[in-house]
Amino acid sequence: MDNKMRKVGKRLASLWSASRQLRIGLILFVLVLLVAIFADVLSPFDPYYLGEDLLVAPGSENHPLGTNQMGCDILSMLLHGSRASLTIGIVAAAISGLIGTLLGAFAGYYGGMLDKVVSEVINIFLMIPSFFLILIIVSIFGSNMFNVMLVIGLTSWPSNARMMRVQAMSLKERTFIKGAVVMGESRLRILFKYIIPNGLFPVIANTTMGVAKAILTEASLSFLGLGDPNVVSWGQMVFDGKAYLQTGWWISTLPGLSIMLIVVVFYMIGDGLNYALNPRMKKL
Amino acid sequence: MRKHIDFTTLFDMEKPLLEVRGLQKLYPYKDGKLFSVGGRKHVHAVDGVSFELHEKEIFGIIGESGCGKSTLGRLLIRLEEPTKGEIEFYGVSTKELLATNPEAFHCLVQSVFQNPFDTFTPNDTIGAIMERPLKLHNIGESDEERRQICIDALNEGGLIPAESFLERYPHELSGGQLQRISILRSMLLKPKFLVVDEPVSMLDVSVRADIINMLLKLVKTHNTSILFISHDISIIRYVSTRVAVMYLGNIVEMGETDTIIHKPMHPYTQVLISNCASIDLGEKREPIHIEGEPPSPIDPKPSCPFAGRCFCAKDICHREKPELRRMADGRLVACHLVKEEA
Repeated sequence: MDNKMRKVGKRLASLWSASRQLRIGLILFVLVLLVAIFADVLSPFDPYYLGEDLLVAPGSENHPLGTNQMGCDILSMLLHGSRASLTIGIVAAAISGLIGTLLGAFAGYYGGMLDKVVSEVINIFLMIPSFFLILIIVSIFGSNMFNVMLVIGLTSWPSNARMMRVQAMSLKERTFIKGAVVMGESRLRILFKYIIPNGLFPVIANTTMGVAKAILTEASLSFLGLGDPNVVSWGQMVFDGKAYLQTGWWISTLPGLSIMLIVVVFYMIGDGLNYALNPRMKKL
Repeated sequence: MRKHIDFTTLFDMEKPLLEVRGLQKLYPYKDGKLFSVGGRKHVHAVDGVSFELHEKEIFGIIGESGCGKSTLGRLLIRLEEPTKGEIEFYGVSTKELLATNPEAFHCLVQSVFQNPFDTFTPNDTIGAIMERPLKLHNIGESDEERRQICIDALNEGGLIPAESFLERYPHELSGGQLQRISILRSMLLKPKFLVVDEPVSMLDVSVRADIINMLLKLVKTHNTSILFISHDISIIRYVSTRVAVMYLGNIVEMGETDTIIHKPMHPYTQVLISNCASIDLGEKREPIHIEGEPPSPIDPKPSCPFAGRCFCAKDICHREKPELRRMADGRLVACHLVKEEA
């Protein structure tokens, strides 16, 4: 067991050294994570506190990043808003990764009727503009954070499923799968012990990029006024500030830049993973 | 410790170990047209093969690539479902056996594959890989005991020190070492029958003999029979007591290895053997040259499959498919022109 841990450590170290993009992305991600965790300590004000100073420009003594039209401190809102964005992004991507992996692996490995049905469902999902589907569902079922996460996760799995399906289809022709069949492994064991662990890498990379897409989708929903109104999120802040773009540019611009930063971070991690998890990089 | 499955209670040990009757495997062929005239077409990968295999026997299958020898191997280990025909082990059909007692089937029949670099899952250590079949079939009481079984096996196979191999990953080993481990793992279950499909064709010439000898030693101690698939006549000649020559999904000649190699009767076997390079310089053989490629295996016509390329084909060869007939020396030949009948 100890040995296994050492091997895993070695593998992670080799991933770390494989791509600079991945390194920078991970460092920034940890920073954002720390900000999200310690938002209460770091922020000078309660983000929901309505102060006396309205529309203060950035650079003032009390409010380094200014206030909005209601007198809320922008810095505190940004720090707290990272929580909503990260939670929604990660949970939604995890849901989509899980569903995509399972459905894709089953369809690709079992084939036949199941594969036909899953493939058609994937095609349907890829054909309909999913953002409008999300809009409809959120406007019907209400726009709290849980619904938003679930809906983004449930509409973004097809790309993961398609990737896993192809992996399963190519893996099941490999000799070590045939060997496992001859050894007497059951089909489910083969799926979970041989197919999924060996075909998961592109899905992991894709899911990481999915976090960025989910954050963007959440921001777009909030911008259209369909975000959770009770939670401070960056998208919500952009939405709130759009009426004041001429008098208070910072209200929308600063959260907009934050969204850009977090999306770039996750793209860097995803792209770096894609490169580092490439089988040709698997030297160990 | 739970023992290996006792085959005597399950099977009629009087019957031959393996009996194959009229085995056929057709693959549907899509010709790309939306409506193909005359119903669906099929690729006849294995087209009516029958043979018997007895205990402790090594049976060679030779033939050029695409003749169906690997498909035959996959049918026997049930990686593929035959279209027609029976495969029986000790008189019990594999279909019935897989339905009622799949564990017994997997303990009875094992296989060694061609590509050692792809035989093991890349995520596991050799130790985990080798202990897996033991665990699956409840052999050995504890993990320590299973580990010891694997260490003994590795030592027996000349992979020393065995302990160091258990901790390593497949990509850290050479092809020769991997193929040894593949053979050792297949033999851990003490199978009665082993399908060995081109085990050394991907390996360096320098390690081939070692690995073949290790395999032969192992099967001798465990009384295992082998179906040895290869396109290399010299290896088949070295390992097997009986041999079948396959052409386009059919067995065209089958018998004792020595008699067939010294005096091939079927024209195809003659061509095959006359073109085999020999180290023996004193041996004077004029290679027979034939033209063309094997015909398409898609719905073959009722003629001798070799007729189009045969150097001595007559009219009848193009009209009728020859049956296997027994000759005076006991071999079976499927050719209209061979006259020396028993």
